[in-house]
Amino acid sequence: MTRVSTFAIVLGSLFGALASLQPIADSDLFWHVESGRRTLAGALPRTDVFSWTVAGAPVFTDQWLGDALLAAARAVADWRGVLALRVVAVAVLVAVIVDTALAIRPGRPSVAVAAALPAIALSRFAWTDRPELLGLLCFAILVRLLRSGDRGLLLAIPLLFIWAQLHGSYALGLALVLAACGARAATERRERWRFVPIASAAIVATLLGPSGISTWTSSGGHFLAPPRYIAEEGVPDVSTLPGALFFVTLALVMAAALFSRRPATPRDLALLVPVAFVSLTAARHMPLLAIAAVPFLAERFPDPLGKWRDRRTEGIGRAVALAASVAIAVLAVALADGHVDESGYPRAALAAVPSGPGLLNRYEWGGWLMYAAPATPVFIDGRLFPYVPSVLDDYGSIINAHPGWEAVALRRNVRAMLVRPTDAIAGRAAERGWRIAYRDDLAVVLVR
Amino acid sequence: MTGRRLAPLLVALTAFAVAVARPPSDPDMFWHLASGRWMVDHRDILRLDQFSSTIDGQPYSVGEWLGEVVLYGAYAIGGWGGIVVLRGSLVAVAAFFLTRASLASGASPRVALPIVVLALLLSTIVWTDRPHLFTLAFFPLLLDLLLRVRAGATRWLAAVPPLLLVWTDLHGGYALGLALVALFAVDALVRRDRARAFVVTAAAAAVVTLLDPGSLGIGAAVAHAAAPPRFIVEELPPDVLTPAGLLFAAFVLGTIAVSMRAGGTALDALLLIPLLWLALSARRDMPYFAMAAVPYLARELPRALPAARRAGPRSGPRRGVLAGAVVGVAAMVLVSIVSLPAAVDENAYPSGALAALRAGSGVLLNEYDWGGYLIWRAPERPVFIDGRLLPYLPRVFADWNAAVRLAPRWRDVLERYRVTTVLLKPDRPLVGALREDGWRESGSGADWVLLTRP
Repeated sequence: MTRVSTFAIVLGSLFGALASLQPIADSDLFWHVESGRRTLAGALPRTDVFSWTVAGAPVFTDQWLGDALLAAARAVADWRGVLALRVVAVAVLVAVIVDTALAIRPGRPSVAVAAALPAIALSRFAWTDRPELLGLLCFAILVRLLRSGDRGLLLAIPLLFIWAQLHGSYALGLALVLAACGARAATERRERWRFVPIASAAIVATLLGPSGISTWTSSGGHFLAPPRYIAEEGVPDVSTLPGALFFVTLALVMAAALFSRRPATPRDLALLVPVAFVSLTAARHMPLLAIAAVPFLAERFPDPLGKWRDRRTEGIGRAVALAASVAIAVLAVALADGHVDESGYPRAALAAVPSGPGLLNRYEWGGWLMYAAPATPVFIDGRLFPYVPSVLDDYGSIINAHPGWEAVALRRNVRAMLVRPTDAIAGRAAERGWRIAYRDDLAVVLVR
Repeated sequence: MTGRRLAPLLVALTAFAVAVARPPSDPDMFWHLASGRWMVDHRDILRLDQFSSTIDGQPYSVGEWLGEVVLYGAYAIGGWGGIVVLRGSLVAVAAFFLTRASLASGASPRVALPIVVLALLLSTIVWTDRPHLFTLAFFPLLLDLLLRVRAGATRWLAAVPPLLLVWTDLHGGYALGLALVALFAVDALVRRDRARAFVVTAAAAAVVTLLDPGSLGIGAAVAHAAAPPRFIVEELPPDVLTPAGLLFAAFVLGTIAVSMRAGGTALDALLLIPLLWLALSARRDMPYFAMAAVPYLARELPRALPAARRAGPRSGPRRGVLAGAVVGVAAMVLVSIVSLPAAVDENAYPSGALAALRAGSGVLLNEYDWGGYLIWRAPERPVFIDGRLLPYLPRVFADWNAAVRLAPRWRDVLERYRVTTVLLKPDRPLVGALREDGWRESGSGADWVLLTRP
């Protein structure tokens, strides 16, 4: 392990500043913040308290620390605090990615940037205000640690402990640590037993959260059966911009491997091949391959700008660069719009929404309703898993006006609906006698 | 004859026996057959729609006219069994040349054959009774031919333009063949080895694909590959959590892992990277990446994996084992021919609604997947939409989608097209709405409902 390069820190702060330009609008942010707020108040939500369809049912607690960090950020500086957390996370993420490349090719910033660019570009689609971003950061740190010999493997254990409290993606981290232990045990046969305690400690570290062993089932179930109807859980699509960037990453890895005269080590294979598979499973996992590929690409990329050498910035120069980086990040947070962008949410319709249970809301508005209309419990929201399968199936039946939707609405005791005008149910319910209590281009409120 | 020489034939015959086991059932097969029948009956290329109420008489082309004529010819000669034999034969051609290509670099059959089998397993997703089968057969044929030319047999380059000429009229996938020739030409330029011969052949191949105005233009073929219609399942990106997707992922990851250990050539990169893009763009194209990866993996796996190296470069089976394999494969082929499916599988279609449909009149709105079947089995009732898709884009498809999904303008669509009959799956929102509106149920089955305007 070496000191993080000044160049990487400066680049990180610049991308952190760029991240501040994105509005605060993620549909899942709100339920994360509400969950975190309760956790900070000493009441970690182990059962549902936000919906009327699964009220009291057990819910996952595997992201409690991520939720708490978001809630703490908001408590400190309102939504600007959440924005600041995003900026810092993105800045550190980019700095770690670039520094990983520079550690492989020291003094070659052009190579480092070229190797890191796909990872930075793809990670852009995960610059959301959710624990997922913190999970991605942990992944980038793990990739860095796995290149750092025994010390890196040992440091991976506390990282896994923290990661397991932040986000479910720690499961991939655990798998990679175990694979790295396996790969090293295979090549260092005489000392292979010393990897057993490291692997065991890594496993134990992921079980030390409030979820215990159930944290494995939540991550595993999510990975093996991703809900494809959610856009980010869909398969990578090369006809989209993120998909095209993902293909570029795959192509770079393949080309670098085909043209390289240096065979990859088992350690490289143990990292890249499993991550490539995971990244093929769902669009949200695409950045993982790009981040994992950084060391491999940095090792093999040619150096077209050979004359440009990164001079090690030391002493006062480094201090100035670091201060400038912090100043850039602070300035970006201060100048950014620190309000929630509600243009995609039905704020104007809320006056017509009755309080109390009985509202059927659109899936992507559920989290926002927890924040904007706390007196109205939701039918469904982005937490998804508590609602699978029965509530989700009934939601699909009603919102798409499937044959028999009225019976489902009656059985569920749905009294009102907050849906889009383009939803099949919007027109059909009105034709079947539901009263239109509110309507604009974004939302319709229908009351039985 | 050595096992090495026999291997392509044995694999091809085995693939034939497996491929003919299923009865025909593909939804698009029916409209291809109807188109072929029309062209044979009229001795002309079908250029105007004959089968629908929504685009009736309008000019359109899906290319593939020769593929449709051959498909109908197989049906006319041998009934549904003829279709099955055509399918088996084309799969066998694919298997034969894929095996040859895998062994071309001197790879051990013990290493090459399992990889070939996996690629053929993946290719089962396109073992459908459509002109697409010709691309499945021609792609490995051309790949093997070009690999042999690259290895020194230059005279075979003369076969490329005629092959492309025929392929162009058989199926729109000829663009893949054209790209393959172009990539080999680039490789020849990079290596400075018979570059002129390859470039002239590529140019000639490009020219011959333009000769027939009845084929699908290269622009349309490329546009289809670049922007696949995502509402069709086979045009969706690969899902590696399905069995076929997992197999595809094994090829992708295997290729990455082997290349990380053993490296490769410029040609490997030229072939594998564009075909990886194609495969990631639509799951129906996954087999072509796998097929291109087969010769590479067979050649380089022993270098990357010590266990595969022990298989030896040219180790073949003993004579007794070889004789046993020949007898076994022959027996399998005989059994498959004797038990050839003689009927079409109509389980996925509303066969129970045919009588009522034929007896009725007026404009029919049908399920997309059933359009081809209805064209073939109930030609008296023109369809609203069917698997030809392109002529229905964008207007008719958007209207159909709005109606069946109960979008706000669904009533307007039904009125504008004067729909009097609806044949859909029972869980379609439109079915519930029309029932509530008083449309009469003229018939129903487990998977279909026929509703008539009151």
